[in-house]
Order: sequence, then C-alpha cells, then structure tokens
Amino acid sequence: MTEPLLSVEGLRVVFGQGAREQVAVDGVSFQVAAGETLGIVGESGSGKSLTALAVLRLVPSPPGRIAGGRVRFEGRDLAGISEREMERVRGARIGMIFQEPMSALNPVFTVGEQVAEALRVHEGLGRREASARALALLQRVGIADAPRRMKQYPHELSGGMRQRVMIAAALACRPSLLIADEPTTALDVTIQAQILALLRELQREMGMAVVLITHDLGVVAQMVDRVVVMYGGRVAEEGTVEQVFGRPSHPYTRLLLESIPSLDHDRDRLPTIPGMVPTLAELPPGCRFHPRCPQAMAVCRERAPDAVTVEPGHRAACFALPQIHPVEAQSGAGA
Amino acid sequence: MGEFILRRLLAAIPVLLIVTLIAASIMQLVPGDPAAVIAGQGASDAEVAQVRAQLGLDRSFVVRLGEWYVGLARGDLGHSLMLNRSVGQAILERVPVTLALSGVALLLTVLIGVPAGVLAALRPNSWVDQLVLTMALIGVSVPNFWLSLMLIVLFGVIVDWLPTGGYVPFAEDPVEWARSLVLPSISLALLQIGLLARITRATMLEVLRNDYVRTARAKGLPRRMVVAKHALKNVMIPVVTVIGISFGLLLSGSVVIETVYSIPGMGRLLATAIFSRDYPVIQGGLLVTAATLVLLNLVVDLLYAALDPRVTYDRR
Ligand SMILES: Nc1ncnc2c1ncn2[C@@H]1O[C@H](COP(=O)(O)OP(=O)(O)OP(=O)(O)O)[C@@H](O)[C@H]1O
Ligand code: SF4
Ligand SMILES: [Mg+2]
Repeated sequence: MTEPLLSVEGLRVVFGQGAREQVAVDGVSFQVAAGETLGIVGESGSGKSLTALAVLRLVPSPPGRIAGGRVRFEGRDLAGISEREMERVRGARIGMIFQEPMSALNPVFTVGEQVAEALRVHEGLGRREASARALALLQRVGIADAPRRMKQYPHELSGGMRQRVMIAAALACRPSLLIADEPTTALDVTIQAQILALLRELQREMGMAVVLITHDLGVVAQMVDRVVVMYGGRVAEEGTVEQVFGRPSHPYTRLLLESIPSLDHDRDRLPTIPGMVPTLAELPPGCRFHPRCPQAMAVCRERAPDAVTVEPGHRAACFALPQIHPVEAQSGAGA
Repeated sequence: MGEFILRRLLAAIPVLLIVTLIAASIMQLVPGDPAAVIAGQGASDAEVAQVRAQLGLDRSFVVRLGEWYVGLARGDLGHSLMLNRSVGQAILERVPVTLALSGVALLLTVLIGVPAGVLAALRPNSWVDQLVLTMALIGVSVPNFWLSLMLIVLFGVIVDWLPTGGYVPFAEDPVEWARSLVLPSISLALLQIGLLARITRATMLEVLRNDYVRTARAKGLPRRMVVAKHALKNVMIPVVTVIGISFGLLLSGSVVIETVYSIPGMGRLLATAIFSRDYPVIQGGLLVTAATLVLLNLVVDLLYAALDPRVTYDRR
C-alpha cells in the first residue's frame, strides 16, 4: 500500500496548563489517500474543527496547543518542520475553508485581492498576473460578472458568493488537500447544494483529496468515500460510508443514524440523541460516551476502549462491539 | 465626496457661531477689566474710564458682539487691546508655531504609540508587552508640566545638548528649529503615546482573534504580512479616531507646554490674552481653535471612510 497523502496518528490537542489541562482532541488517528474524500462527523464540541486546525498547526495558542501525535503529509512530519516551511504548506499544498463566509473574509480588502494574494505569496506572481489568475478562478467557481465582483468588498456579496470566493482563494494554488470545515452550514439549503456540487466538480478536476467536516449525514452519504465519527475528542468509528452507515458498530453511530429525521428538513444540525453533550471540563473518565450509552457496562466507566478492527478498513472503539469478524478483532492499525 | 465635504463645512458654521457666542458670554461673566490693566496700577477711576471709552468697552456687550460678528463676516477679527496689532495678524504669527509643535508631537505619538502597541499585542505578557504597558502607565500618570520641568532640569542644568526654551522658526534655521522642538514635543506627546499604545494593543489583540486572521494564516501568508496587512488595516479604523482625538488634546495641551518652554504659539497667546482680558484675541483665538478642531474631525472621518469600505458618505 502506498503511503497515504495525509496520516494523522494519536493527535492530542489540549487547553490550559497543569492541573487545569483539558483534552479537546484525544489520540485521534485517521488517514486520507490522494484524491479521496474523508468525512468527519460528530456533535458540536467533539473536536472536529480543532483536529482540522491542528493539521495546519493553526490551533489558537494560547490557550490551546498540540500536545502530541504525528501529522504526516506528502511524506513529511508537519510537526517537525519550521513555521516558515509550514507557511509554504498552508494555502499551497493544503487549502482550508471555514464555516462562516461572513467573518472568514477580511472586510477591508477586495475579494479579488484576497484571492490573488495567495498566488503572489506562493507562486511569486506579480500583481497583474495574480489578478488575472484570480479573475479566472472567480469565474471558475461560478461568480457571475467576476470582473466587477473582483473589485468589491465582502459585505457587498451574498453568503453563497462569499463562500465561492473562499473556495477560489483556498484552491488558487491547486493544493493536494482541501479541508472544508462545515462549508455550507451557514448557507441556505439551495445554496448548500450548489456549493457542494461545486466542491465535487473542482475535486474531480484538480484530483485533490478533501476532508469534509459536516453535520449533514445526508451529505456524508452522497459525497464521501470514508467517514470518521468523533465523540468527545476521540474517534468512535471509522470506515467506508457503506461500512459505517450500513453496519454501524459503535453505539453512538447507531443512535445517530436512528435519529435521522425521515424528512431531511433540518439538515443544518446533526440529529440529536438523548443526553447532554459534555463540555470539556465534564468529560467523563473511561469511555466518554458511557453516561449516554444504552449498552454501557461496568468496564466502560473505568477504561477507555481501544479502536478495534471490525472488518477490513472498519474500526470502532467500544467494549461491546458486535463480533462480525472476530478473527480480525485486534487492536487496530488495519485501516 | 466633494458634496460631503461641502455639507460638513456648511454645517460647521452655526457650530462656530455658537462657540464664539458662548465664549464671549462667559468672558463677560468673569471679573476683570482690561481698561484697568492698561491704565496700570494706581490709575484713578477717571483715567480707567477714559481708557475704557477709548477701547470702546463702555458700550454694551450686545453692541460690541454685534460689531464683532459684522467684522467677522468681512474676515476681520478686530484689533487686540494689548498687543499692538490686529487679532488676525497675531494669530497668523502664532498658528504655525503651535502647528509645528503639536504636529511633531502627533508624529511622535503615532510613530511610537502604534508600533509599540502592535509589538505588545503580538506577544501578550512577554517582556516587550510588560515594558510597553509600564512605559504607557508612566506616560499616562506623569503630568506633562512636571515632566517638562524634569527635562528642563536634566537638559538645562546637568547636560546641555538641547535648548530648554524658546523657539527658532524653521525658515531661520531648520536644525535649530528641530532642536528647539525636541523637549517640548516629547513633554507634550508622552501622555498621548501611552494612551495610543494601550489602545492599539487592545485593538490588535481583539482583531487578531477574528476569523479573517485565521483565514489569512490558512492561506499561508507569512506572519508579518498577516499582522502588517490584514490585521493592521482593521486596527487602524478605530485607532484613526483615537489619533484625531489625540491631536485635539495635543493642541490644547500645548497651552501648558508653550508656557513652560516659552514658545510663542497660540496656546501662550490665548493664555496671555485671558489673563489680561484681551477680549478680541480670546474670541479670535477660540474661533480659530474651534475651526481647526472641526477640520480635524472632517479629516478623521475622511480617513475612516478611506480605511473602511463599509463606510460611505455618499447619499444613497
Ligand atoms: N479557544 C478555545 N478555548 C477553550 N476551549 C476551546 C477553544 N476552542 C475550542 N475549544 C473546546 O474544544 C472542544 C472542541 O472544539 P471544536 O471546535 O473542535 O469542536 P467541533 O467539533 O468543531 O464543534 P462544532 O460542530 O460546534 O464546530 C470544544 O469543547 C470547545 O469548547
Ligand atoms: S465502550 Fe461502553 S459506554 Fe462506550 S460506547 Fe461501548 S458500550 Fe457504550
Ligand atoms: Mg467546528
């Protein structure tokens, strides 16, 4: 097997110091192959955004910091390179778009400038060349009347258009990986579909891999090759969409899937399951899910379950896994 | 834009008229008699009355004020009671001096205050931050007249590198002009430098938390560019307003500084005029000061619009 494009191993992100240290991302591992789409789902606060930010070494610090783990990307350990080298990865090799197109663009620069500047920095283009490329990019992401829009400021654009601008800026240097953190959550439903379709098109065109963080299980089912389900800063389950949605192994995943409303009107939010989402400070010991888990056992309160391979490429972290393939149920580097 | 400026200037006229009216009325209430000052100590009542009649001060306040406004409409600010020249001439002699002093002080304020605030914000709680905050605290707490006296003692008595008083016009000797402004402008600016550094620091800390700063970093822009371009332009939007206020405060602060350093500027002109009840000079001086502040506000608003594309002054 060739080395994956991105490989995250045992990633830990913590807030605070010493006794008041809180673990927000706790030993998260996953891999993304070139050109593949990985979905990350999980309740609010489960550590999805921090995981993504940690890959780019953009965890807000202070108060947060990356406390452990490895992030290998294009054959390099990103934790080991200098900030200078990291700047050459950000925007050039890994692009990122965020949930709020409203606040993610700088209000005092034109959108054309904000698309062009990455090209100037990474590819050393002059002002005019970069501007011409930015124009082409804006046209490519479907902005009508792009020459005029170039000179406008973010507040003059609709939310959907702003997200298109964000996409153009993130993809300007043709990165091999795009991380999209809930790129459509803040948008109208019809616009959501357009943006996702655009992302898919561009992905095919550029052959890039995508990590798509989303609350929308329908989107995961449609767009994604493999999916990571996170709970309380840890990976609960990981596998292909077919595996995870077809044969959910972790009690949390099962509850999630059961609670999808039949009409998908409220797609902005992950379906809710009984119980409260724990805050970082009140994360329980043992399996983080045990207070809400219908199958919780005594051991769940004491120890955290390791990830176990349920079938090839399908892992889950739970003591009560249905033993589909008992032979392969070994602690898991199998994915 | 042109229309906006014109509207603002027209709107300033009633403001200025009201300012002069209030100033004149207040001066009328303050005890003191310029005729007595001119006639000198020991002058008889008859002599004082004679001087008063010569100066036209025996007529009623309303008549004199009316005359002053009529003169103003012709661009004539009247004649000083004490100085042997017209008010307009006296002001024209003094304005450049005060503008030079407060201009240099403003330059120091901006060139030191903004970078210090930015540096402090980039490393909160570091030694740089502590240093800036401590210096700012000192700048804010030390009264500028006391600072002036300390500087005068230091440079006048202990070492004599810099002049501790007086003013040399630029046209006469640019080097001496600059040297004569060093101590006064530092004394004047220190408070404002401290305030501006603190406000810049707080604003920068706020701005750096914004999503667009994270976006800029995610695009791989070097940290320097993220700060100097993306963050700084947003920081300057509120800071420009503060700088405008600073300049106003520098102008009024120059009254004390000009007196301490014997600099013949507007501040000293006004202070002297107030002590000697030289009404026309007070009126004219206040009018010019108020007009300067009106213009200053206009410039700040224009800068504000230039920095922030969300602000527009064109009528929809
Ligand atoms: N700057 C911060 N300071 C303290 N705690 C933080 C900070 N940022 C995030 N956290 C905590 O870390 C945890 C994970 O946050 P993260 O933003 O990764 O969640 P998420 O899965 O992306 O949630 P959402 O779906 O709401 O975006 C949350 O409990 C959050 O409260
Ligand atoms: S480990 Fe225990 S508590 Fe956790 S999900 Fe499995 S059964 Fe539930
Ligand atoms: Mg998030």
